[in-house]
Amino acid sequence: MGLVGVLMVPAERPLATQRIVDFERPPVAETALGVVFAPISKWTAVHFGLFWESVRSLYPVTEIKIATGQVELKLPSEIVDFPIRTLFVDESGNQLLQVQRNAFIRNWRQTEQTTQYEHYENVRPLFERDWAIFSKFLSDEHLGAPEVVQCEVTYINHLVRGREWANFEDVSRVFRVWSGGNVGSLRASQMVSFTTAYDLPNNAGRLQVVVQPGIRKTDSKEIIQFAITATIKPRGSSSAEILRSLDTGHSAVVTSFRDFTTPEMHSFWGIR
Amino acid sequence: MTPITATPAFEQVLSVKAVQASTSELVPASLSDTAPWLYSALSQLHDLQRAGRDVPEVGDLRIAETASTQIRTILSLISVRTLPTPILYPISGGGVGMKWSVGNREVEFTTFASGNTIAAELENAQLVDDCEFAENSKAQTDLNSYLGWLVNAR
Repeated sequence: MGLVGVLMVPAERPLATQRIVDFERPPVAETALGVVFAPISKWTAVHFGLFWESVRSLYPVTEIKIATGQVELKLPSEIVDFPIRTLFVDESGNQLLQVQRNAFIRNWRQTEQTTQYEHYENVRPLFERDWAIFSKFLSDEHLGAPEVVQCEVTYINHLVRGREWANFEDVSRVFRVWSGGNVGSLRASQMVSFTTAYDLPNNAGRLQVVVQPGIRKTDSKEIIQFAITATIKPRGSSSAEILRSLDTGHSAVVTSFRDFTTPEMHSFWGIR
Repeated sequence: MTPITATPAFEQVLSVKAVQASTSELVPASLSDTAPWLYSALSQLHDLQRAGRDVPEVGDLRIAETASTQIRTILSLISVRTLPTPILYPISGGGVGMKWSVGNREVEFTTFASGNTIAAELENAQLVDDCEFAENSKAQTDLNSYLGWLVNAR
């Protein structure tokens, strides 16, 4: 299901350090600030290792995954071109970088050890630092400057059964956009899942909301995952323009988080 | 739910997402795409938890929290997506049973109140193989091997 409309977000750009919406206990499990660029033609598997040398003191742990996004899944002519994504993870496990041939993503994620949410004003400078390191690496290796095509901000929230909701009848108490109730002779919905997408004002980009039930592997708890993603088309590839786009995306994401959820939930999460 | 139509003129519009930035450990339980049986299993488990009673001369059919957590763990480890809907039932003393049937084959998970779980393969109601389920990568392999064996009965 997809709905397209216009989401109203504040027209003026907020200061990056200003909290648009603030909760004491937000249900955020993960955030991602991403940049998508035209594939770097000379990038090979070797460059993941070389780049790691630049960030190893910050991110001592690595993981290799299949690249995400629009990846052509066919056997490449050269093994060095295999579409992989490398995760560079810090010692705490909370902060990580994801790099692939056409994308750079910086995540904060909750872990069992550290559940305290990291605010955007803290994560943004880390993104700025890491993007500068990545850009310098590309320049030093003569790989060319990235031609940025999209910036993305994603917030993933986990609403836990027994905490925010007890059964799917409660979904209307969580989300303003879901009215719930009986449909004809049908009673007590057994599952709720929906996706909506909106154009952002001034053609700035799009916002997508995905609500989907699931099981969280870390503790086997049943959750509703509430993911909000803003994709912004930047006007250029400069760091300043990327940060401006991320600020716009962040503003849209947190505003829509507030607007999609009910005052009852705001109180539960301790709105300030 | 997979739409069943005589004239498959409908094509789902896929959401545009250039990069899935998520690294979270979520197992999607969407009925519409990955695992239609998963939500049914969760729903049955929830019903059992809600309805559980200690019935004199029958047994204590209240589901222990450890057992229900273990069942959710098992569900989250399943990578075989083309399964039928399982049947969940209480086991006296706080446990839960979960069973899949395809043709003359069955795979059963018996989880006790302590969380200990026995997995068994049966064919024509005769035991073919069984093992104790533990939370490690081998258990995940065994689990999916059993369920793979089950769906191969089709």
